[in-house]
Formats: sequence, structure tokens, C-alpha cells
Amino acid sequence: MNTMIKIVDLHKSYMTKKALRNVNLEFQSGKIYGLLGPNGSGKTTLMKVIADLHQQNEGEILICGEKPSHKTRAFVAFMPTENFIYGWMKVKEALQFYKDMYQDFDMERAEELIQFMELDKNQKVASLSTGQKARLKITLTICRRAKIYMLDEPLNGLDPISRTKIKECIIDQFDSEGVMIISTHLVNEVEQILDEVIFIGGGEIIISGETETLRAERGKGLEDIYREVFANA
Amino acid sequence: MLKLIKFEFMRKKMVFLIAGALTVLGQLFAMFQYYKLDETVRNYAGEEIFTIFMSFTIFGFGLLYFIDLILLIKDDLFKQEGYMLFMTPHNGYKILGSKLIFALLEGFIIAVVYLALAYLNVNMMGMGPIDFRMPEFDVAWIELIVKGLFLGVIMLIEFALTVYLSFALFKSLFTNARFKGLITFGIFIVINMVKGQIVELIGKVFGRSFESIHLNASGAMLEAANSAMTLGIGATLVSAIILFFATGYLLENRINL
Repeated sequence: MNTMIKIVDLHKSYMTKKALRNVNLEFQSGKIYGLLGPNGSGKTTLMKVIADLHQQNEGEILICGEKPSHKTRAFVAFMPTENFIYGWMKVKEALQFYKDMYQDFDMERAEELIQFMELDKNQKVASLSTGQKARLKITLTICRRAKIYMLDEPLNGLDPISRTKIKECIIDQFDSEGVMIISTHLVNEVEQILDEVIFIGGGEIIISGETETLRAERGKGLEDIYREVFANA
Repeated sequence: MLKLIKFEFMRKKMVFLIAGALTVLGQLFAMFQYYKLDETVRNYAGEEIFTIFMSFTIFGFGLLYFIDLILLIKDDLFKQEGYMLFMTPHNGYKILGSKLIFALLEGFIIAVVYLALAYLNVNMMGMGPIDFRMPEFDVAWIELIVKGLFLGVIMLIEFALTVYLSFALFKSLFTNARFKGLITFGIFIVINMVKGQIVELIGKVFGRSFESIHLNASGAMLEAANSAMTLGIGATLVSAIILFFATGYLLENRINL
């Protein structure tokens, strides 16, 4: 296993609010990580700093040995929680955009996935429902053959059918050479697929470790550990 | 970079369609006004209709272009959809460069459409045909006109870059500040003041200024205008290059979307 992402003493603040404090983490290849925490805990900020959409105030991040930049964006596939796909695009134009911009985008796979996700290629993004937008976002992101995938709240606000489809896609797409980081507060939805978990609250890492070990040590499931950790959050 | 430019064109296709449709409607309306006139007054009134229509058109095109120039980067920096662009493996300089090239192409297309409309209407409203033979300008005049056009283009780029640098500063160094709108406007003013200083510095380096050229211009007007134009081009180019690299650096290294 290789260290794909190394984070050392990371700090990030917005005005007076500290979004990330003294974060030290390592992400190894071949694992799916769960970044678990309530809203406002720093999950999104951490992902955005890794994705080079935000800049840290202090500390260092190395992604496959490089600092976050346009170079690392070539092998980091990030799916923000926001609706980031241009509303004026049609679904097929969004696919074309990814094909044009990312060398690792697998158009064939994307075409299959669009059908699986029951999306109409000629429909405008602006006219898609929340669930359909989420399905399109995940399709675009995981159809890249990237080394690192980061999915920010991929299951938020979705109906059970969409959730199942998206989880199936994530499992199907995961490459044992890469890393996948999934941030969520819907712990029971992703518990089965996580190799390691990181509990983050108030911008700090509270607990991190292998899912199995944590469950065995504490004699309870992730959902219960989450409730215990964030009882006062 | 070509793909980024292609994407900018795709993004603007609806704006182009609407602007095109409005122009056609305006043209039809102008033609209707012209042909409903009595033939005896058409020649006189035709010029009036032509002037009004072309004035409205240039105002409309100019306004559209001005707004578009600002929104070209504002939407990507200030809306969540901008993640889509800034997540791509293109560096800040490339993204900025593609937007500037697109802006120039868009301006060129608008100018061509406008001139085509003018040509069409001059002929249809009985003011043509236009004489395309080159007027007998001497070399100094042609040089002045070419320089003037070039200066116009780089001033446009420089203006766009001033706006883009204000936005980039706002989304990077001042991202956590209060009174966001006020600060952006303040940044814009400060950049313009700094630009003025750069122009003055260049004038001093070359031992002349716009004022001194004007004062000396009484005898050799054309030569003085040419010198002023050259100095203007040099100063604007230097300013635009500095603005480009400053904005590109911020987009690449300091941005907080």
C-alpha cells in the first residue's frame, strides 16, 4: 500500500472561525475512507483544500508527492456536494466537457452509466431533479479513471432508489490501486463499504482508524459510535 | 486551451441566439419603418432611420459585450458552477488566457456583424454604394490608424484584466473580509491608481509624457500623435502583462472558491 495523500498540521480558517485545526492524516491506496461528522464539522473544507479549490492557512498536503495544484487535479476526481454542473448544459454536453477536460474520462463507461442512472442525455441540467443531478454528478466523477476519488455527501437528499444506484456505482467503480474518500453524516448508508473511518468535529480529527477495529474495540456499530462521539454536537 | 475556448462559445450560444434574434427583429422593424415612408421622403428619412437603428444597435452590442466581459469570469468565481471549470487540470494562466481570447473573438464577431449590418443598411436605404477604394492616406496616417486600433484592443484587454484582478483578489487574499462589494470596488479603484502610476513611470523612463507630447504637438501634430500612441501602447501593454500574471498567479495559487 502506498501513501496517496499526506496531510501535516493543516489549519484553515474563515474570518474568525477555525474550519480545520491541526489535521494530520494519511490516506493509503486500496482503501475506501469515510469522513464522518455533522454539518459544519470541516469535512467539505478538508476535501476542498485537497481538491485545490481552497487554500490552507498553515500546514502541508502532499498528493502522490505533489502539493495540490492543477497537476494534481488531473488525477483527483472530486465531487462537491453543491450542484456544480453548469445549468445551461445538456447531459450529453456535460459528458463531452469531462471528456474534453480530463484525459482519464471513460466516455464508454459514462454512456452505460447514464442509462443505468436513467438519465436522458438530451435533457438540460437545469431541468433535472435533485436526485437526477446527484446521479449525473456521481456519473461524471466516477467515470474518470482517477487515482483519488473524493465524494462530498454523495447521498444527501436522495430517495432510496437513487441512494442504492449510487452505492452500487461506487462499489463497482472502486479500483484497488486508488483511494476513495466519502464524506457523509449518513453513517448507516455507507458503513458496509468503508475500510477506514475518520470522525471529524469542530475542524479536528476526533477518532480515526479501521472500521473493523473500531467496531471491535467499542463493541458497537459505526452509527452508535457516531452518536457517542457527536452526542453534544 | 482550444477546448476551453470551445466551451466558452458553447456557454454563450444562448446569449448569441437571443442577441441575433433581437438584431433581426430590430432590422425588420427598421426596414418596415423605411418602406412604409413615401418614396419622395425616403432618401432623407432613410438616413435618419439608419442613424437611429445603427446607434441603438451599437449601444445594445456594446452593453451586451461589456456585461459579458465582466460575467465571463465573475460567474465562475462567484457561483458554485465555477467549480466545474476550476476542478479541471488547467492552470490559472490558461483559464484566464482562454477567457481573454474568447473575449477578443467575441468582440471581433460583434464588430463584423455590426459592420455587415451597416453595409447592408447603407445599400438598402439608398445611401450606397460604399466606395471601398483606399483613401490616399500617407504612411503616417495609416500607422496612426493601425496603432489606434491596436491600442483600442489592448485597452479593452487591460480593462477586462483590471476587473478580473479585482475579482481574483476578492476571492483569494480578501476572501474572509466583510463588506465584500465595497472591497471589490475599492480594489478596482486602487488597481486603476496603480496602473496610472505605471503609465507615469514608463513615461519618465522614456523621458516624455503624454502632456509633453501635447505641448510639443503644435508643429508636428501627426508625429506627436504617433509618438503618444506608441507610448500609450507600450504603457498599456506593460500594465496588461502585469495584470495578466498577477491575476493568473492568484487564480492558480491563492483562490478560495
